[in-house]
Amino acid sequence: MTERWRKRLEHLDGASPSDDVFRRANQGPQVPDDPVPQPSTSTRVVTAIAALAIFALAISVFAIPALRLREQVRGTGDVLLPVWPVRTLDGAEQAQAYADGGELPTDVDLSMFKWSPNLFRADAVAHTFALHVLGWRDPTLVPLDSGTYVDPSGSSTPSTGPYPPPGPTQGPPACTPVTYPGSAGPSASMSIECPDGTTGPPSPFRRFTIYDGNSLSYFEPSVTVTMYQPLGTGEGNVWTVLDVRDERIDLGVVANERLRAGQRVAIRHSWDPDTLRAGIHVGASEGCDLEANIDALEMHTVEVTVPTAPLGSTCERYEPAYVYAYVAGDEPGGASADPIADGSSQRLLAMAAVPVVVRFPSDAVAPSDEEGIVEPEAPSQVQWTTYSDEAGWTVDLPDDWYVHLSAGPPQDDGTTTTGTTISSNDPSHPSPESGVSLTVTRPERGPTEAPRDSDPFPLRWEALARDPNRDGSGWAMGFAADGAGYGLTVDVVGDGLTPDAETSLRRIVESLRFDPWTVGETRGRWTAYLPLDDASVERDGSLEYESTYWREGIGYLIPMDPPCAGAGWDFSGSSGPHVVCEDGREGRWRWDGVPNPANLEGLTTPLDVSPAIVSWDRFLLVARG
Amino acid sequence: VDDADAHDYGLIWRESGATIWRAVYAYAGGRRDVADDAVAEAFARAMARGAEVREPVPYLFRVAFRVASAELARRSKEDGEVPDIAVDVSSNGLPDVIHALRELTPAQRASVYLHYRMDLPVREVARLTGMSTASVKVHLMRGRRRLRDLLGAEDDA
Repeated sequence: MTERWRKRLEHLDGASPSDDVFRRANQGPQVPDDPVPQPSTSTRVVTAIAALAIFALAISVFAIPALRLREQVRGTGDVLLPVWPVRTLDGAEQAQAYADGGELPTDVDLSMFKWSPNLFRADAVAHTFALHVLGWRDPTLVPLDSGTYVDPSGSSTPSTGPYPPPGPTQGPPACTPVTYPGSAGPSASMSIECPDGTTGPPSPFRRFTIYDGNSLSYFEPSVTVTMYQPLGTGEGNVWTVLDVRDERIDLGVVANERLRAGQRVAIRHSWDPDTLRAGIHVGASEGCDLEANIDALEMHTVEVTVPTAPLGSTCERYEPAYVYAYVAGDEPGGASADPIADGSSQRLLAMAAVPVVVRFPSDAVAPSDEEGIVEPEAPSQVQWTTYSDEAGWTVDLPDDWYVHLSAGPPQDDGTTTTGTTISSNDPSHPSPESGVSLTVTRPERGPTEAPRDSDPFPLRWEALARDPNRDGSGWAMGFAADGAGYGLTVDVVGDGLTPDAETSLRRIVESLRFDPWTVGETRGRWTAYLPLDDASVERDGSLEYESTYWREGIGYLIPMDPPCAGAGWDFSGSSGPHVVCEDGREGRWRWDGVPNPANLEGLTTPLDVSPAIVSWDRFLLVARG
Repeated sequence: VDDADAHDYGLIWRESGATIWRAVYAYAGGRRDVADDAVAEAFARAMARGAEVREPVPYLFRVAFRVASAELARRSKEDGEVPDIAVDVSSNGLPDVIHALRELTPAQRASVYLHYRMDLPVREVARLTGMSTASVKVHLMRGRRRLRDLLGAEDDA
C-alpha cells in the first residue's frame, strides 16, 4: 500500500522536457569553465565560520604538525616535508629557483606549472593541485583560515612530532587554539597557546576547502588542503601542499609521524568499501621509490603495511613518505594508483593525504649521513607474531613478549572475569622491576550486561591513553564486540614505558581484531542476519526484511506479521509498534515486545521479538531462542 | 571510430532523456527552464567527451544535477532567492506536488524523486547524485516527513 504523498509524486510524470532540449544539446556545451571562481563574500564568511568551528574541533581530535623553518635541522627525520608538488627540501629549492625565473627543473616534475608559474601563490598552487591530482575541471577555492602554529614544546630545537605529542608520559598539553583579536574571518591568524607560555618558531599556513564546481552545492566533492612554505615565510617563497583532508577519511596518522617498515596503518572511512583506494608511497629519489597498497580490507577500514626496503635499494634510514587514500569516480580514464605521484586522469570524489617519515632498520639501508637528525628512540629489530584468543579476538605482538591467561578477582556484584595478559616480562618472574602488560578481559559470570552494538575497529590507542589511572600506573578502557563487553587494561611497572614499549603497546591495541561475519554464521547466542549496508531494504530509517523489522538503536528484530488482520504495523512511533485491526481494535507494544496493558483481548500476547545488535563489520546480529 | 559515435545519444535521449529530465525538474523544484538547460548541457558535454564517458546515463544524471545546482545557486545569489515561477499545469495535481517539493531542499527533492518515484535503491540514488548513501538516507528521511505533512500520509486506497 502506498502512502498518499508518495502516490502524488506520480503527477510528476505529467511533466515533460521541452521539444528542443536534445536539439540544443547537439549545439555543444554552453556553460564555460571558470578557472578559479571566487565565491561570494557571504558564502566565504559562512563557510569560514563553519570551517573554524570544525577546525577547532579537529585540533582537539587530530594532531597538528608543528612546523619548522628551513634554518633548522634539515634531515628527513626532523623536518616537515610537503606532499605536493615536491616532497623534499631539494625539490622545494628547485621549485624556488624555477619560480624565481630559472629553468624548469628536470629532477622534479613541475610541468603543471609550466604555463602558469605561480608557485608564489598558495591559492594558485592549491588550484593546480585540484586540476592535476584531483582531476577536477572547475575547482573553486574557499579560504578557511591562515596564520601560525607554534610548537608547544618550546625547546630551542623543537620537536616536529604531532601535536599534541602522543604518549601518556607527557599527557596532552592543555594548549588551545587562539585567534588573534581583530583577525576574525577567513584571514584569521591562529596559534596554539599553552598555559606555561612556551612557544616555538612560527611557520605560516593557509587552508582552503576546494570544491569541484562553482556552486558549492552539496553534490560537489570537496577536500581541505593545508598549504605551507617549506623554505621560508612571506612573499617570494614557494608554497606547497602539506596535507589533504576529507571529512570521511581518517588516515590514522598525522603529519610527520614516524612509521616503521612493516608497520600497519589502519585507514578508516565511510565511503563505499569497493571504491576506496589507499596506499603509502615511500622515498623521493630514483633509488628509493616504494609503494604499498591495501593489503587488508574490511567494511570501513583498510590497512596498508609500510613497505620494507628491498635489498640493493638506496633508501636511507629516514625516507619521506606519504599515506594517501582516495575515491575514484566512474568517469573516463581510470584513476592512477597514486594520484599524488602520477596525477589523475579522472575526477576523484575524495582524497586524503598526509606526509610521514618512514624509518628503516639500520641494517637494511645504505649508509647515510645522519648528521643533525634528532633520534628520538633507539630502534630495535623486533619480529612480530600473532596471537588468537579463544574468546575470538586476535592481536599482533612482539615475538619476545609473553602471553598468559589471567583471571580477575570476583567483583562486588558477583561478576568474575577471565582474560589474557600480554606482557613484556616473563610471568614466571612475578615481581619485575619494570615492564608493561596489556590485559583483555571479559565477564564470565554475574549480572548480564545489556548487549550493545560493537565498537568500531581498530581501537584507537589515543582513546585508551585518554583515560589514565589516577596513580599513573596505566590505563583502562572498555569495548564491545560480538555482543560481549570487554575490558582492556594497560599496566606499567617502574620505568617500563619506554618509547619502544609504548610503540609496541599502541600496535598491539590497534591490531586487536575479530573475524568478519558471514550471513547465517552463529557465534555464541548471536547469528548474522544480514549486512546492514544492503541499503535497498531500508525504509523510514529502519530495515524492513521480508518478515522482520529492525530500527537502529532499538535493539530488537520484530516479526512483520501483526497479531490481527488490518493495515499492518505502524513502526513510525518512538515508543514501539502500533497496529489497527480490521475490527477497529488498536494494539500497542514496547520495542521489546511487551504489550501495552490497555490492549484489548487478542492483543495482549507479547511479541516474539529477538534482541539485535550491530557487529563491528555492520552485520545485524540476532539472538534467537 | 569517431568518439562522438561511441554512444548513441539519440537513443539514450529517447530511452532515458525524459527520466533524467524529470529528476532534474524535481530537483529544481519544478523550474522547467532550469531542467531544460541542465539536461541539454549534460547531453552536450557527454557528446563532446565521446568515448571518454563509459556509463552515459549516470554521467548525464550527475552533470545535469551539477549544472542545475549551479544555476539555482546563481539565481539565488542574484535574486536573493530563487523566484517562485509559475508552475507547469499540464498535469492535474502537478502544481500541488511542485509546491510541496519546493518546501524541500534540492537534495531532498532529488533523493525523494529517485527513490520513491523511480524506485531506485539508496545506493543507486547516491551514485546518480554524487552523494554518500548516508546523506541520501538523511535526505530521504527529512523529505519523506515533510511530504507527509504537506501531502498527507494516509493511504489513498
